[in-house]
Amino acid sequence: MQSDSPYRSLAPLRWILRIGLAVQCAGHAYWLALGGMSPLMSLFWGQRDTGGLALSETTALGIEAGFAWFFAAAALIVLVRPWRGVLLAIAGCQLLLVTAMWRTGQGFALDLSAIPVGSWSPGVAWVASLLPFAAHLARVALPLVLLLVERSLPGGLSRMAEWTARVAIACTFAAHGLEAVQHNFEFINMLIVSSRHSMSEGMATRLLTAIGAIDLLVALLVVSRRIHSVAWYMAFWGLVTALARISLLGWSGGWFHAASRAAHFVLPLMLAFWWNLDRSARRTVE
Amino acid sequence: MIPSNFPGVLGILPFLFLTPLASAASLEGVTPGQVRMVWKGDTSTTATLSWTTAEKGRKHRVKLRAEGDDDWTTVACQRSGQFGGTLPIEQRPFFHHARLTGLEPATKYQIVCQSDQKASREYFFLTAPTKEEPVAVLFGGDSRSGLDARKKVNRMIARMVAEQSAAGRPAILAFVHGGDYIVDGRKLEQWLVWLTDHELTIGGNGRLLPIIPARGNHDLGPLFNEIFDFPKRDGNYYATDLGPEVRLATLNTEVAAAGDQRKWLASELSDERWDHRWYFCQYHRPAFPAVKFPSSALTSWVPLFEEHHVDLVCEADGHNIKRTPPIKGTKVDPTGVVYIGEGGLGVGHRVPITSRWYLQETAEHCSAGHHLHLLTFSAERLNVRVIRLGGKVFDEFALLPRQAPEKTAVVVQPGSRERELEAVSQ
Repeated sequence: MQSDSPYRSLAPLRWILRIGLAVQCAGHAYWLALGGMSPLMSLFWGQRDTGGLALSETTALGIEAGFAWFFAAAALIVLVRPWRGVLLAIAGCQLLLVTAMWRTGQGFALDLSAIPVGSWSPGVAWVASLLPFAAHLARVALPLVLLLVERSLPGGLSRMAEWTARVAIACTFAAHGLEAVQHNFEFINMLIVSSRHSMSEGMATRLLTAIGAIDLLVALLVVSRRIHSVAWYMAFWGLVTALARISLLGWSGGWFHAASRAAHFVLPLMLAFWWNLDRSARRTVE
Repeated sequence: MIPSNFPGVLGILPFLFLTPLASAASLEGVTPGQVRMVWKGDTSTTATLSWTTAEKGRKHRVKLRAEGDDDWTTVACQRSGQFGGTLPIEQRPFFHHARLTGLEPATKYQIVCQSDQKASREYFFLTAPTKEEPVAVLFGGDSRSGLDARKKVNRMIARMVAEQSAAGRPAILAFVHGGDYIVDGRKLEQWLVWLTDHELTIGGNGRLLPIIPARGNHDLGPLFNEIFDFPKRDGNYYATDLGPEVRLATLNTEVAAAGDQRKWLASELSDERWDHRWYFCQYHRPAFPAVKFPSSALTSWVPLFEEHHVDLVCEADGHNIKRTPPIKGTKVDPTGVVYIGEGGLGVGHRVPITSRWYLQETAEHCSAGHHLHLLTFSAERLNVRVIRLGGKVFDEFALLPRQAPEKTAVVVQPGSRERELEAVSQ
């Protein structure tokens, strides 16, 4: 009986994920609806030497608009009833977006000269080019985690759901940590503008090194052990970094960037919530 | 199963395999090739002449003389080395940079590049004047893709320079490149093709057109600095004088816009703006884009452009023809700054989104197509002309010189500290 389950209070967990995914989809819908500014445009319209498919601009814009409508509809559907097909389709679209980024060479390029094996190794360069997949893994994983949670309730969160969330958020934090350690200039801009230009570039660079190191550390910890404070920290930091887009670009130019990063705080929030409940439930059973 | 992009993969294959061979074919032994001139700083007395050789060689120097002189002066290259990048080391050619100083202003210099016993043909270039006279520059960006179109645009540049001179119009002094030279700046094979194509800008008479380069988002890695003779870890933002009354700030959207670069720009504009009648800026990713998202230039630099009354800002990256009305404080204002762009030196083109608030008034001046901007500076006006590939003028407008703000009123009130007020007159 559901009412007898020590996990009966897990229902809010499902709503955290559903609302988070709806926000993420709404952000993507708006971003794509702006027309011609997403990696999908680079993929479908871009010339072949840049990894694009060289379709006409009208066709590429049409495809992009189609994806925008899908995300808008998906944002509503996951709130009403998160159908399995829709969740899988959202994950597929997210994967297509990051594949488009990878194929057209967008996103942060790791400086391989800082790595001892050097940039001469094509294997190292290829692995480094996969950074966008790691950075965006939380967004791809969010609908899949919701799907697994929907299937595992009310008997408690399945190990598959928990580990999907843990690995995805670890990869996202690790990728952003690497970017921070290598001083991604967009992050430096974000820090300085958020401080209303009171922070020096040197200070921002040092701060970014520390932030990157912490990101890498918590990425390691979240897949190593169940440490509640790590999950809470990741949720907090995921929210702060998402909102930083608004501080950099203003509300109208930044809200959808922040929204499309909902997975960065929703997944660790879910983990923190679940670990708390699971600990309480185990104590109750004992 | 055949992937959906199968024809695309086939189309890329010849490019992948032929590119290094094609670029290598243009270089032989220590014969100087891929000759180019780079301008930074004071262009009336300095310039950097650069070239490439397939083999290392031992002695690399430039012979030069002012037109009319009998004697040649020899200048040794200050910087030579083997290119980095992705090619195997035995396939990487060598760059040579000769920094020429102590030149005479407004002078035609004949030059010959020499590596060991091999000499190039004779070229010439013009130094910028130190007395006020009308001068012109070409602005463009995004030559990374569409290699056939890139070659055509380069040939058009050579023709325009020659025709301008033949018609007695103000000399085109330089080529201001807004970035995105190639698809992947870490790939030397692509740079070598670009360098070979860039030689098409050299006139039949040997006229070298100095390039003033900005870094684009595709120009990643250290090769940019090796090709254009920047220090290894340079920020790639700098100012260039084009005569006594024209100054250009080249900015870099691919490093932090908000930190040291913003400080440099604030100091540069504060010190130099009103020492020159015309002040314009160039960088790659737009603050007021016609198709993309605004770059960090919007929050970090635009307030400075407005505060210091910059005359014109040249942007690239969007692959379209754009002209905004004067903008100040995020609205159209006759005292504001005009932004033009956005790159058309070969890359495929987008249709500008003229429903954006800053393009609604100038929608008819926005379009798609390969093009160049010809900027002509005189005492009376700054004339901007957009010329499509083929030579047709698409757009033309003029800006009048601005008046320097009066720095006069110093109000001292009893019991209060001194305050300096700046009365900004338009």
